[in-house]
Amino acid sequence: MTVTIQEIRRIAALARLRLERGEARRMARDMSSILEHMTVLGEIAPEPARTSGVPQREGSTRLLGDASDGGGAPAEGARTMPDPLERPLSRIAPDWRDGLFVVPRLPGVAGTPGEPDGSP
Amino acid sequence: MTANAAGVAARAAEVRSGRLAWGSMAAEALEAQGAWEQGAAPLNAFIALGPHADRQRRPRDGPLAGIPVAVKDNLVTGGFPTTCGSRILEGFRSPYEATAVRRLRRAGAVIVGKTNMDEFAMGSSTENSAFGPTRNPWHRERVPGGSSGGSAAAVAAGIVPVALGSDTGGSVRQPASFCGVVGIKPTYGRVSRYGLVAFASSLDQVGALGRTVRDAATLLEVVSGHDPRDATSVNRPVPPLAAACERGVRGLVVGVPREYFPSGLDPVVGRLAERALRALEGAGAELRDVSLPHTRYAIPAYYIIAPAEASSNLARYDGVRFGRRCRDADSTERLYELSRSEGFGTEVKRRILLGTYALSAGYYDAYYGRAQEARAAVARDFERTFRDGVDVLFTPTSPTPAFRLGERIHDPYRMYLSDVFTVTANLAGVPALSVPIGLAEGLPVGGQLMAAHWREDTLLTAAAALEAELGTVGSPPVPSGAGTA
Amino acid sequence: MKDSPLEAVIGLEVHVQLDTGRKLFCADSTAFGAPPNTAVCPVCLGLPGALPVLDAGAVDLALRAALALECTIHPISVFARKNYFYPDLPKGYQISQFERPLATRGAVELDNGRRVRIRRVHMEEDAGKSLHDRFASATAVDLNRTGTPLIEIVSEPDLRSPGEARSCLQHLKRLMEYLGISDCNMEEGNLRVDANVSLRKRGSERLEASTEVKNLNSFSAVEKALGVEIKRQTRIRAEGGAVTRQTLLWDAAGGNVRVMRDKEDSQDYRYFPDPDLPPLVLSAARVASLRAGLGELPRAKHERFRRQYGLPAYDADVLTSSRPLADYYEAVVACGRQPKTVSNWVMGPVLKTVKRGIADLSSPGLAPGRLAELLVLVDEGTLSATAAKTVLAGMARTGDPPGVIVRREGLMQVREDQVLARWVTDVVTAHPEEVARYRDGETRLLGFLMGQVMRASGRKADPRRVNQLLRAALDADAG
Repeated sequence: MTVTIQEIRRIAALARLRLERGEARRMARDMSSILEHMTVLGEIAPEPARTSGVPQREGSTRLLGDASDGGGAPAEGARTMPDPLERPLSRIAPDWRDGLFVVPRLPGVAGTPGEPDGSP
Repeated sequence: MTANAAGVAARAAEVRSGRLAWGSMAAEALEAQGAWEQGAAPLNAFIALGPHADRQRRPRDGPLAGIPVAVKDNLVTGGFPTTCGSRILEGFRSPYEATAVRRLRRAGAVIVGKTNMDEFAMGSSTENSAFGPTRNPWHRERVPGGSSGGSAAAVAAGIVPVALGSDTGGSVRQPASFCGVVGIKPTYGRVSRYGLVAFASSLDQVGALGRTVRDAATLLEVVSGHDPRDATSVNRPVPPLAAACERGVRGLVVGVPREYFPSGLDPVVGRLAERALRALEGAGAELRDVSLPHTRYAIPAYYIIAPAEASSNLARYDGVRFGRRCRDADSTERLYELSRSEGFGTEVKRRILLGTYALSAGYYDAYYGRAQEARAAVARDFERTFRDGVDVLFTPTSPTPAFRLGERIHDPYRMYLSDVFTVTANLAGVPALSVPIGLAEGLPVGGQLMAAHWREDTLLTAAAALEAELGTVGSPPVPSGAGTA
Repeated sequence: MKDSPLEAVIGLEVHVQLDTGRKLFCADSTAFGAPPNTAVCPVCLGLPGALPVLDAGAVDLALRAALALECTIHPISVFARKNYFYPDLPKGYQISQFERPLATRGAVELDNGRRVRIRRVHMEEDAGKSLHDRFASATAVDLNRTGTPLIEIVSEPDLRSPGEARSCLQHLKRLMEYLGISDCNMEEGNLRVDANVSLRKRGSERLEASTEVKNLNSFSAVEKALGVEIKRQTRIRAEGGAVTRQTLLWDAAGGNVRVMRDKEDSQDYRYFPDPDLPPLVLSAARVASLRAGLGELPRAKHERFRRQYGLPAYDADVLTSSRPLADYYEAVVACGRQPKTVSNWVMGPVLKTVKRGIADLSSPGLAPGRLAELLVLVDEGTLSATAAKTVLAGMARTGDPPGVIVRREGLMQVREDQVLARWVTDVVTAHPEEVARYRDGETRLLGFLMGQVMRASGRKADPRRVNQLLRAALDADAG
């Protein structure tokens, strides 16, 4: 197999997926077989660096609130207004207290509000 | 037959003139839907059904006045839940609405329900839905195709005349082919993706399904056009699409790419495709053999790029702000793992893993990087062919007619091959369409047309000619007890 | 460190919030202090189906910063996704620029004349805020900050001491403030600093394992934390140990650093181009017009102010801290007033008025011409300095010209000898004892008597003339 169970576990941890033992084995097998079909990609001659995964581009990037957009009237009205929320977040959030989303305490970061290790 | 059997444009005109009550077609649609749920093998085309049309406060004129429309459950829709066929979004009601759906309402349409789909559009059979598979109305032991299987089945069953789907690798065209209806995937950037729950952002497009080419064109025209809320939507005028159906194919150059007629092609599909080509020729089109040599890289490239983007797009389903949360978690890390593991089905997990793997350190260049090269090569094949004077390409939509429920669900790669003829259009961003070209032992077969960027009009011209020459495949037998007057 | 065989190698990573007032990929407000989770929309909440659209205003501010840092601007740059899970990161990825940033290869010059190379300037969105002490055994998340536009400025490891790092940071802050790119409010997190530190043999070019020190949220934190970390690394090496690649957190209260995570098990962020955002293509015209709009940068302006106006360094510092202030100063001087006098007035009473929020530099009452008129009245002796400050306050409050206020409030300085003489005579008459003591040689009592005259005049008397008249009166009667 090209993909080992250990690798599947590493990838699953990155993707925050929990796999039961049998599931991990099955995934390793499926992925190995799928990736075997991908080896033909090695035949493709590399082109100069690609800039994006998006195939068709016309002109330059359209920017929010750009006068030089040149694209005529906004199609859906106020283009620079935030789309309003038609349902309160309290009815969407699984756990909502005092206007805040709530999750179980993160380990090891208590006491340093505003300085999460994940923040840029 | 039902009122829905007549053309959408004509029925909308009747509503506008007051000859037909605004909610009457929607009421019929809901009734027909109920009939298809009777018996041992219910169709299961819908995840949610709408409130009665009279409760929808919307404009009562427009090109779709009073027309009942079904919407794939990955377009966020006011008044309906949006689940994407996933447990992780069970009961989720979006606080905003997709641009395509807003445009439907503005055109006077009545949204009657949200259609079943493979979870997060990952699948080719609608078997990967957390809410059970949809069945093919032509043969209830067969799949309707996927991932827009619910939309295709609802149109084929005569419940609605038109429906919205989404197409990432063939998810509108392949089910259209399996269900004997018309399905069009427009040029990437033609229809706003704002509010379309992302599977693979660089490939996803909202598409239209209809009983006839004209109906699909009418629906597509309504939802097309630039949207400032989608940076990949393109600001270009939308040509009159319904009108393009009248043009005729005389002088049109139809390319026949040999890579799409492999030796392993189902012989009945091959024969019907051949018949369709003769019909186009008979109507005045010129046939030309062409080659798209990089086609064989399309499936591998697609099944790297789409999962890679999906692995990132699906990270937001973490149980923190919306959707399913595992209640037993005592830490945030456990919360993520348990919520996601319980919420996602097997195929979604498989693709997240595949995509995460392809993007991870040490593998990025070998997989994601190479796949982008292959994608560019596939796109160049199309550019060259259309530059050389080909107006439209004709191929089968899928190598086989609808397969049996359960037949491929345990063989992922074999399932992926259902998309072998359709993924290229997504990789290149070109518009493509599937139109019925006949029945093979009672099962519909579709022919695919592909054109250069922004030439949906050419596709529709060719498709309308095929429809006129070959006739429609008709409708599946209406279930007993379906009291559609 | 000076005599040590080792030298410090320091590079900075500075995050600067762009003052566009709205988020990078949607139009929500970035105003500080809104109730939690109210400045949010489907886009920055990362709701299913929502899509980012790049804000043009942020691009322009980022470009100004890059141009001011003498960077090469790339005509095509690409937004990428940095994938990681965190409760305050709604999409599960941060949109940033990775392989193809907005700009690279710039430089800043420190006050000691050393040039520090800038490796790159790129745009990215901020995360939200995790509140760990709000609820017992739970973390609360406020997403108002999510999507706030930032630029990250990364320097090459060209800094050699904590002092230089501080100086570099001050220079960057000054530049951002001057160009209106950011208010750089460090308390609100609008300027955040991380530093990479390693030690190497003086003169060596070898790259050594470095540590990253985070949470440097003031100038003194930068200097102190780097000092502490350099000492720590020096000690490790002196003991024959090896420094390991780590991310450290500066604890300002404890005055030490603690390990946040080992770099070796650092995240695999799986960067890839964001398919929702086409590459950012910048027209040459857009870049050229921003470059032209940049004008003279603060450092050059500072030097010119000292040279052209003969100002002390301190004055030049203050006056070139923002472009509107510098322009204001020059406009007043252009009206013909003496540069140092104008500097005193602008840095003193004018800025005080602005800081109190009574008016700003663009208010009609404080127009450069008006201030110049006021200074003319002082110069020609019509107004005392004290009275002029009162007039200035009136100008700021009412918007009236100084002449009008002076007349209305009767603040004109009294210089007519007849009037002054009467006040002098009155005071001399009223204080016979003090006058006698003065005449006996206790001359310091002149000040007391002056004060009495000024008081009698309601502070409107011309003090110079009063002084002359008072002396004359005291000395004359003595003879």
